[in-house]
Amino acid sequence: MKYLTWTDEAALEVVREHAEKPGPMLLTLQALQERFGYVETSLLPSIAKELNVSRAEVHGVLTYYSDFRTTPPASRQIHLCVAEACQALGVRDVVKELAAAGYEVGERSKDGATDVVGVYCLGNCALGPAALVDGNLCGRVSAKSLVAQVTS
Amino acid sequence: MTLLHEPDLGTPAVKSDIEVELVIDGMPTRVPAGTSVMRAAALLGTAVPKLCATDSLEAFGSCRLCLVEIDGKKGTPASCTTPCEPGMVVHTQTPKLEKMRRGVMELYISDHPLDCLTCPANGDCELQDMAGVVGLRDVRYGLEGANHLDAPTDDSNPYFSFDESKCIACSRCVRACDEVQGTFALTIEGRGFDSKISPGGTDFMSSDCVSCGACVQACPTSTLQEKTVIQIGIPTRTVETTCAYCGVGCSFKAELKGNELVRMVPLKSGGANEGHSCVKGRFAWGYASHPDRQLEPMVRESITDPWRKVSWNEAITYAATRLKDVQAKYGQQSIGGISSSRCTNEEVFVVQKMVRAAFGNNNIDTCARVCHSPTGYGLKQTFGTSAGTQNFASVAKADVILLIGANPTDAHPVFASRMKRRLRQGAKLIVVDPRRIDLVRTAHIKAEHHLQLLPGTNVAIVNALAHVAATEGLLDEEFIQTRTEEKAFRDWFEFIKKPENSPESVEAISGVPASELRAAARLFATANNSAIYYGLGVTEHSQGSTMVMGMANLAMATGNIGREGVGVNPLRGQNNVQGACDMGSFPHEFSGYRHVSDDTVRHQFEELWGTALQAEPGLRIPNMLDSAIDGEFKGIFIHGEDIAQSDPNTKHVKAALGAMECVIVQDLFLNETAAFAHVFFPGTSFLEKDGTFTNAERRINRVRPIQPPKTGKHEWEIVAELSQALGYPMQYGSSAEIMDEIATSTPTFAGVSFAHLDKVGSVQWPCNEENPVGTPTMHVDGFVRGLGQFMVTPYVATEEKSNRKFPLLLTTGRILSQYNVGAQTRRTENVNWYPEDLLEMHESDAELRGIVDGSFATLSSRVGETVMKVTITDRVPPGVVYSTFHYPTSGANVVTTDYSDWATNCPEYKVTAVELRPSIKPPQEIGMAAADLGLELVNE
Amino acid sequence: MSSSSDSLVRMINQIAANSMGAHDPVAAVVKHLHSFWTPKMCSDLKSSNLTSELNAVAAQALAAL
Ligand code: SF4
Ligand code: SF4
Ligand code: SF4
Ligand code: FES
Ligand code: FES
Repeated sequence: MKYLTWTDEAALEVVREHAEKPGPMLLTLQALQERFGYVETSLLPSIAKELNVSRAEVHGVLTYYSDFRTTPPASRQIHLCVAEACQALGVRDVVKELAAAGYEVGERSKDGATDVVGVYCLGNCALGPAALVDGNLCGRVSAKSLVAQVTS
Repeated sequence: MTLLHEPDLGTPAVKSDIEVELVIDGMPTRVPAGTSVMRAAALLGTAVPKLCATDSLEAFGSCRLCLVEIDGKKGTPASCTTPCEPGMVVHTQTPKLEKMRRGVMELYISDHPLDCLTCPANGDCELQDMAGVVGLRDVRYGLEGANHLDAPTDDSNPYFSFDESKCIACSRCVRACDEVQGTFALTIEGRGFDSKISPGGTDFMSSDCVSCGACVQACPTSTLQEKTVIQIGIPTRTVETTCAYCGVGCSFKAELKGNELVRMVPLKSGGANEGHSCVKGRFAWGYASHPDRQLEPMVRESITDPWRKVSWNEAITYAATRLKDVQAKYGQQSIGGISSSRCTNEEVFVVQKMVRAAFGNNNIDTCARVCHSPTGYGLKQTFGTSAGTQNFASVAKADVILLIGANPTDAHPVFASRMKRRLRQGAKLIVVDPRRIDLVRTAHIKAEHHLQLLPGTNVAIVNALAHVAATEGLLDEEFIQTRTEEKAFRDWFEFIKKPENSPESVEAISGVPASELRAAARLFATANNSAIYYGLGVTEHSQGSTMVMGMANLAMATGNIGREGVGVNPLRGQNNVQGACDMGSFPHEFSGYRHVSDDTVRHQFEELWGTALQAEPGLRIPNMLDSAIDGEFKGIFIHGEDIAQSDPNTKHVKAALGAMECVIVQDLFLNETAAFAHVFFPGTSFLEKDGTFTNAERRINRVRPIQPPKTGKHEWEIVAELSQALGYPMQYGSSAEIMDEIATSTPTFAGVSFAHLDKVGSVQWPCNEENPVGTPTMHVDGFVRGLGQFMVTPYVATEEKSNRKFPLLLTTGRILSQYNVGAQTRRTENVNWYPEDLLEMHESDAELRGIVDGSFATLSSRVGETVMKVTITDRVPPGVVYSTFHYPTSGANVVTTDYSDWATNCPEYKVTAVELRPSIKPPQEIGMAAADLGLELVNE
Repeated sequence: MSSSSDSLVRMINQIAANSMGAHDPVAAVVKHLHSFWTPKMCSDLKSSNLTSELNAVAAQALAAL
């Protein structure tokens, strides 16, 4: 996934595209995240102004959904499912092995190139352990296969 | 004297014509349809346990403590969110409910610090109360689980602290900020167990919070807590009183511990504010005990001498002798007085009485001259009474609000909250202002039209609005026919139809696009209820009085007078502007707006006061100053007013004061004017006053002392003694007796007495036999003058125009945290929000002059110059600059001219032609120097 | 020339300018002066040497006092 570099002007343009739509707050934040990979919090007051709401309200929505980021993402993303079915299929070991390889779940990898995020069920239980690598769904993953993918 | 607990019925009152009957715990009851079960129970005296509900907020249903059982209904519904239905049989106390509630409480307490004994809210905490109510005895869950006990405390706000560890996430604070205050500064951050209250991801001070305190008041725990409570402790007794800052006139409970003021809490039953307040009234009362306050009388031979502290006796005798000497030397007309709209009605009444009866002339004026005198003039001409037509609550029925030259979120915050609530419900807003005030666009508020006119073109705009109504068939014919004078209407109709009043012509004068004007006019004229609210941006102009009449014309022409939701409403600056005007402190009028030349009225006062009174008007403030410079006016008594800072053209004012031989100043502080005084009488703060204030809705509120005067004397006592010393006996046993005299002599106040006010809380005048509890809406069946009178209101451009030398137009205003010349607010923690006056200018104007954001610039007009810090903003259009006037160091009035309203001489603060140039030096201590001089001399 | 007379001229001219919409502007100005000016202000203005600076309505009104 390629993100644009955040600039306030470009971001405001995205905000304005969505400001007049009904229920614009989620749409706007999602659009920002899609475009730039995250939402810069210094822009909250301006986003609020455009949407005719308060800064706190934007902050509330932004922090309610764990999907929203407020810092730039690493260039590669692993979303590893750590829910029940995948646990039954051995994801705990995957987590351990990943950590050993410098890919702690919930953190950025040691080499700084990959974000590793634990999520709950990707709807791919039958093929667990499941993960999204840069948004692409993968089944039967191992630490090795994941690291290989993000370093390829 | 105990602490007043106003009952909390859990959910707000509901208005409905339909009543429903139900039974609660075996007791039958009737309530308006839509009332919650919780409220119905509370009305019966049954307090259902609750945490997230409080009757200033809509029910939320999150804490699950208020569960009840209802026959025939499954489960245990929350009583706060369940509306009463006919025939319901409700049980609020059953073993099942008790068990459930105890379980809920256990969970709350398991994540709450158990330091009740040392908590500042000990004894004033709803969580603690509820634990007791549900009979919580032990908690099965230890505190070792995940908890929030280490959460940090946010102490950034100077007045309250936010101790997150005590938060029960009831979100009452969030809802108070949204629903009551309308600022939306708070939110719940995160979700689930991690959720917590946050002012938008920063601390309170850096957030949108305006420190109104509504959240603090709503918080059931000690999470949000006044710092004074933390320092001093829980208060033990209450004195009900009235805020002394702005014309909203909020009612407060002053809560004391012994004799120490702990906090001010707005009174729920307060007619003006209904339980809400702003940062000034709730928190900024520290000035009353500021060390700068003068507590002893002082005199001096000449203004270059040091002050000498003397006894009251000596000071009063000295003042009287000096005044008598001046009169002996220069004649009876050579002295006068200025009353203050910060003082009580009773104080103002005795000051004007002293001037008329003891000075023996009518040279009495009031500082209302400089703010709202055109309101009195204009509304008297058109409607017959010098006051606004509605109560504040009326705005809740307005469909269109036309807001002209007022900035309520800063200057009248509690009214602004009411207005915002109505706007969020869908009412439409039209803003007429050169500057983009907050209400043009702020969270959940968006003005339909912002007519961003050039300063000084108000009359052209209001005429254009009326022109559209008149020429597009949008007049209310029936109202005009039945309620107004026909001939005057004909004249007006012919006038207003003229092409010079068309939006197209007015566009050229005002800079407002004709299409925008037309659209705004149609919106105003076609709504069911359209209301006009206005402030000093209307009155402080050379055509202030004309503009007031123009707005009255528009309201009459569209039938927007005489019911709720409509009207013409001044937003008064100071707390008692209305009262000061009512009490006869204009040189041409006795109390109740009756001309001094009216023989019947004058004879009545002559009889009452036992002395002859003059039948001709006396001097107004500007005329007093002019004739002082001419050497004819030589002595003045200035009551609680700082004319050297607040009046226009400071140089002229100071020259006039310097030319007088006896200047007596009565104030809390040695103000700018005191630098020119020979006698200084220390005044009392509102915490020591006993009397009444009258707010912008004509509401007479009681001001009650929490302590005796720190100076040893009430201000009315001083005036009475000075009168006495001048040879005119004036004796009152208490201020209640003064009100009795006001009631006897003033028909609109006939039914007012302290006893009556103590009984009913407050009344809106006229209060008399026909209206024993006052008059919320005026001119309902007819105007006070009988038929309404249209006035022809041609636009006359001000002489103060921008030109080559002074190409910019300066307009002035005020900011939320500060008040007027700032004598009080500058002496409180409010300086944290606004430590200096700022001048706003547009980027293009700044660039042209090489002025950068945050730098100093020299502001000059044809009368003077001063240095101010510049903020570059798009709030003002190119060609217009805006500044506040709260600090003497910047002396914004150094540059304002002495142009004034043609009818009332209200100064034209809102238009001054100016120029700016970069400056390297910070503002000189222009005003402060004078004040400091006074202070130093005392200390010598 | 005193500071008062100067202001008085400006005031009465302004009152006159703003009374032009009235049926009888001169009468309106006269009424205004009676209601709001001290007798001395009126006589000061009359006896000042500035009456030439008055506009027509103001001058007529002053004469009619
Ligand atoms: S003090 Fe007022 S504005 Fe500030 S957060 Fe509380 S309710 Fe909102
Ligand atoms: S701060 Fe007070 S009002 Fe706000 S959620 Fe916490 S306990 Fe409730
Ligand atoms: S709105 Fe006005 S009256 Fe009310 S608390 Fe604030 S300053 Fe006082
Ligand atoms: S539990 Fe892992 S994909 Fe459903
Ligand atoms: S009080 Fe009813 S749910 Fe909280």
